[in-house]
Order: sequence, then structure tokens, then C-alpha cells
Amino acid sequence: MNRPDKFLFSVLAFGAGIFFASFLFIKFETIIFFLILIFAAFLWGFLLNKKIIFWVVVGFLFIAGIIFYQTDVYFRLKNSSAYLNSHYLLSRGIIDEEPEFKETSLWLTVKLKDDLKGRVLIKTKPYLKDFRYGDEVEFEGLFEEPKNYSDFDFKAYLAKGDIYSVINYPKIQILNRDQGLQFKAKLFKIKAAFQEKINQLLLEPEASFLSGLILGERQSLDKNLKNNLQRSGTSHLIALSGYNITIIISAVFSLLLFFGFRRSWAFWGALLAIIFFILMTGASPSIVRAGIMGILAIFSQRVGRLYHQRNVLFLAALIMIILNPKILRFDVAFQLSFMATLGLIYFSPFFEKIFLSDKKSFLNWRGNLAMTLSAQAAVLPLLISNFGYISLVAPLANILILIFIPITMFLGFLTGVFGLIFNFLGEIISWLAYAFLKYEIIVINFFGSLRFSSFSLGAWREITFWLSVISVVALFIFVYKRNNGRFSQKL
Amino acid sequence: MFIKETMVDFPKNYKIIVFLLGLLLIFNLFVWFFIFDGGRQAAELDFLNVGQGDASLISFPQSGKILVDAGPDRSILKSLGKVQKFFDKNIDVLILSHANLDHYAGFFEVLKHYEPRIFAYNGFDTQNQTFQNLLNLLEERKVVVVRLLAGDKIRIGRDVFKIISPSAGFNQKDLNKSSLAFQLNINNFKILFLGDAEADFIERIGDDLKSDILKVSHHGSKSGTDEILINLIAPKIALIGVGKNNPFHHPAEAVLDLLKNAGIDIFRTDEKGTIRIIFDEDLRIKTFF
Repeated sequence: MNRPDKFLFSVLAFGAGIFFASFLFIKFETIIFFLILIFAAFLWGFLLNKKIIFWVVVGFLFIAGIIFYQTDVYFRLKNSSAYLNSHYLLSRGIIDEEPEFKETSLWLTVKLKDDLKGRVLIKTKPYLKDFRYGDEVEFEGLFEEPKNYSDFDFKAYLAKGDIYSVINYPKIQILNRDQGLQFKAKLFKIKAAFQEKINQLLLEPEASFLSGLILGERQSLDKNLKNNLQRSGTSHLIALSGYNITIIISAVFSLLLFFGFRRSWAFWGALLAIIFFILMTGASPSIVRAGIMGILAIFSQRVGRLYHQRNVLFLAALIMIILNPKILRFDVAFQLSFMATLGLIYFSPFFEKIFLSDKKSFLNWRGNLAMTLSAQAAVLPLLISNFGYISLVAPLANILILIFIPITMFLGFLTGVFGLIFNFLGEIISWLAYAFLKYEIIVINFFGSLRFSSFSLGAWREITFWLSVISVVALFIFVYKRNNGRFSQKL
Repeated sequence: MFIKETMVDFPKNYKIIVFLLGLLLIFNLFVWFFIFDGGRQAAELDFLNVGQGDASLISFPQSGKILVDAGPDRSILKSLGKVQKFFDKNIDVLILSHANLDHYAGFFEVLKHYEPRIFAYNGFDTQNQTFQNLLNLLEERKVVVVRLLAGDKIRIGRDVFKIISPSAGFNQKDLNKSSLAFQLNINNFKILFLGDAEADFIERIGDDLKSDILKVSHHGSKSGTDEILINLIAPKIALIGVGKNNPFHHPAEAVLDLLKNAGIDIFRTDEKGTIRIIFDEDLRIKTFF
């Protein structure tokens, strides 16, 4: 086994340990027992059979993953607000995320102050007060343990963000503004100004759709359109993930090449665009993770050797998991970003051959299509297990829309920027953006409203999930064999 | 020689030229589009479908737009998006009938998407936190806040707004009673907006209430409409803003019967969606979801 593969197996073992522990709590005695077993195997390998040593190390890393996860959970819980649950308290804290509008309520993530530990989720009436990031608030209410919905592990979802208490509709008032991080506050301000300009220059639902595209802002999207996005298999457009970010990179790259820039310049241009994009969308952890993976995908394509690309991606994932091990199992965005990037690395050369992506095409639709399909194929099992449906029209809807997504994002971006500098110019550009947005929404609504556009898997969910896993693995092996583990690809 | 040189230079940046030409072509299409569109010839009233709540957009030919109430939530934006054109999406004046959430909560969203200049209401502030938040937001956005009372008139071209309630001396706690009621005179058609006002309260005002179109008070609840009031107004068309299966059981059967028996055409937002009335020489009515 060569070194890069050894590295891969080590990372996989550690990750597997974390994943395993996230399902099952392993007792201390059991861990000690296995450690002794491994130590025995190590001694045996050391004395008699040296080949086994690497696998002993892998086994040890698996156990290390379990230990790491359990210690991490222990300390996070200890530093959380869980000990306050089922107490009625008057407390203070600072809003440390952007307030989130839900259907009938406003959600605030508040970091507690005054010797109280942890973060809490406060649900309050929308429009009650003008809550902003960085506000210091005082509130009086009952701390409750989060409750799970029938089909959604809400508790785990919140725990992933270190939230262990929910306070429903407390008495609440704002004490001070601007108590948060200055840098974060600035980012949110830029984002807000940008979004407001888009809102002023475009009507609904186009404005919300554009915000979804370039800011990943989903709260304001109309329910009907949201449904149609799902049913037509295009909701990835408005979920910022590594996948989306790769679209931006490839679009900026193609656009710069189209205008006659040199390859290396275009590459740096794309990189700059991504960094700018991450900052503009408020740099939330999931977007930063997605951005890093997207950048890696693009960067590794310049390196060329498969195991480099692969290992860099796994290394990045490893670091992210070490920073917060819960994301491995509970953060769908992380899983999607990772799988999409993996798909791009492994599958895109295969799809590029099929669609003759080397050929010149209008706005590089051949290349875009190849990238889309490679990402889509890799995330299929995740989509099935998380959303439980398959969209039959997804490929067609995606082809019809994706060709225009880069130009739409570009025009939408210009709309906001010029709108802020010089309103009239922004207005004119908004008309162009409007034409594309309108077209995309018409396509989405058309495919989403077809009765056969998607079907819920119901009882077939599990079988389909495993079938999709098998087919993805099969595709992976097929591509791997075909290229002898080597990829000569260009961006 | 000259020709040859230009031919060599040509491929270098022809893509940019093609791109710019394409842009110019699209702009050109837009210009022609506007010329043929020609703008509004007659005033229009859009009684918007905002679920359980009220919202109406009044658009005057070649000039401003007034939004009367904004419904309970974001749905106002979707329905505004449907009735407005992408190149004509200003709203100049906001009018609030009274400080109830199902009439004003949508203004929070409207203020994020539009830049109105004037906000007019009956001046009856509740100490309600949410309403104070709205007033603060208006101040922050530098929207001029105006108080309207019975007797005030607003002229827009030849069309007139006449406020009939509440009067200056009004000081009751009841929010519905404080509703800003007004009559619009557009192109010699009269439209009566009652907000959520109560029937007996409006009857005692003593103004001439005769109107062609009635925005039925309080989503068609019993307190807002009775036989005396209907006789006083004698409308041909009644507009009711209600949500499907609302918990208040609006509109009341009794009110519907009353309107039906009087031979009045009833348009409900839960059945017809948004209702557009165009004030040409005759009234033209379109409905759409």
C-alpha cells in the first residue's frame, strides 16, 4: 500500500470511529478492553508479523475516533445551558447569529451572559422588535429541552450548533446594540444592504429567488415555489453548498476565459470571487466549509493526480470534523458539500468525456452539465435518505436552468452592487436579471407542478437508498478502473 | 493594407463586441416594449389576496400608487408581485386603517421592498410593542407619518379621497371603531373603505355613504355590516378580504345573505384570489390567484 492510500485509510478509520460513536455510546470498560486487544495485536505484530502493524494503527485510530467524539460531547454538554432546563429565569445574552424568520415566529440564537453558560434558542413573535445581530437582550421565560418532531431530530440539529435549550415566547427587551463581533456585524450589514437593494429593484418571487441563489437566503421564499423547487429537483440552487460554490467557480472561470483572460488569471479570478462570495453571504460555518471544499475541488484539478485531490479533500474534512465532530452525522450541508466535491473529483472526467466538454459550447453548457451530473450522482444517496423522494424531471429541469444560472447570478450581483452605487443603473440591470429569473421560475413551476415530476419513496426509501449507494460505489469503481487510478483533467 | 490590419485585430476582442451588441439589442427590446405597453390608461384598484387580512393597492394613471393596509404577513409581497409590472414597482403612500396586526404586519415586509414617502393612519397609537416597532422603522426609513381625520380630503388629479371617520374628538379604546373609513371618488365611481369599523358606529356619522363599491368591514363579520348600513351605501359590488378556513369563521352567513338579498355582487379573496377593478368608462373586473 502506498503512502497516500495509508493516509486515506487512517482518516477513514478515525472518521468511522466518530460516526460509530455518534450512533452508539460506548462504555469506558469496552474501550479499555479493545485498547488492550489492540495493544496485544501490536505486540504480536511487532514480534512476528510486521505487515499487520499498519492495520493495528488503523484499529487504534478507530478507537481514538470513538474516544474523541465522546469526550467532545461530554465537554460541550458541560459547557452548555442544559443544566438550566426546566427553570424559569430572568437572564441576559447577546444575539450571536442573524435573526431567522420562520413561518409564524422569529428565531434568535442568544449566547448567555452573566456567569450563565451556553447558547439558547429564543422563539418570539415576528415584528415584535427590531432584533439584530449583536443586540444585548434581557428575557424572562422557561428554559426547555428541545423537543423532536416526528420526522426530524430537532434536538440533534440544535446540539450541532451547541444549543441545548429553547425558550418559547419570553418577555424580551433590547438593552444595547452592537455587542457582537465587529467584523461579523460588518459582514451582516453588507449582506443586508445588498439584499435590500435586490428587494427594492425586483418584485416577488424573483427577488427571493435571487436572494436564494446568491445569498443562500431561503427564509423569504414562497412556500409554493419552495415545493416546486424540491419536486423539480432544483432546490440545490438555493442551498449554499460546495456544489453551488463550484458552479460559481466554474462559471467565473468560463466567463473569464470567454473574455480572453489567461488560464492562470481566470483561476485566481475564480478564487477571489469565491472568497468575496463567502464574505458577502455572512460567512456562516457551513458556507465557509462549503467554500473551502469548493476551492479544494478547483485547486486540486490543477494538481492532476487523483490521490492528491482526494487526500486534500479528506484532510479538509478531517479538520472540519475535529473542530466539530457532530457535523459528520448531523449536518446535511456538510455531507452534501463533501459528497458533491468528491463527485466532482472522481466523476467529472467521466461525464466530461460523455458530453464532449472539451468542445466549445454556449456559455460552456457542456462543461456545466458534466459538473452538475457528477455532483448530482454523488449526492443521490444523501438526497434519498434525507428527503425521501426522487425527482424524475431533475435532469431536464437542471439542464434548462443551469445554463443560465451563472449569468443570472452575475446580473443579480451587478443589480445589487450598481443599485447601491447608482440606483438607475441598477434598475436597468435588474430588468435583464428579471428576464432570466422569470424564465427560471417558469421552468421550475412548470416541472414542479407536473404530477409525475417526483414521487415520495415511502416504504421503498430504504431499499432505494441502498440501491443508490451501490450504484454510486459501482460508478466509482468503474471510473477508477477505467482510468487506472489516474486522472488527466483540465478545468 | 488597411483592411488586412483590421482583420487581424478583429478576433482579439470580437467576443466583447458581440457581448456588448447583444446587451444593446436587449435594451432596445426593452425600450420598444415600454413604448407598446403605453402604461395605465385608467385607475385600478387591486383588492389583494393576502389570506386572513386586508390589503388594497390603488394605482392612478400616469401617477402614484397607494397601498391601503398590508395584510398579516409576507403574502402581501407575493400578491403585489403579481399585480405590479417589473418596471413600475413603486408605492408612494401607505395608508393604515387601524392598528390591528392583520392589517399592518405586512407593512414590515413592504418597507423592506419599497420606498414609500408617506404613511397615513388615524393617529391612534396603542402601546403595543409591535406597532411601536413599526413607527420606529418608519422613522428610520424617513417616511413622513401623517394623521388623517374625518373631513380631510386628498386630491389626486381629478380623483378625491374623503375621510369620513374617525372624527377629531374620537377617544375610545376600541381599535376597530377607530378604523379610518374613507370614500374614494375615481372617475365618478365611488368606493367606500370601512376598515374594521362597526356598522352602527358608521351609520351615526350622517355622511352621504352612497357608493358603487364597498370594502366590507371586518372581513364580513356580523359587527361590521347590517341592513341599515347596506341600505345607506347601496353598493353594486362588495369586496371581502378573508383567508380560507379562517378560525374566526369570517365572513358571517348573515352578512352574506344580507348582501345576496340586496342583489350585490360579492367578491371574496378566498374564492377569487386578487380582485382587480379597472375604472374605465365602465367598471371592468378581473380576478386571479
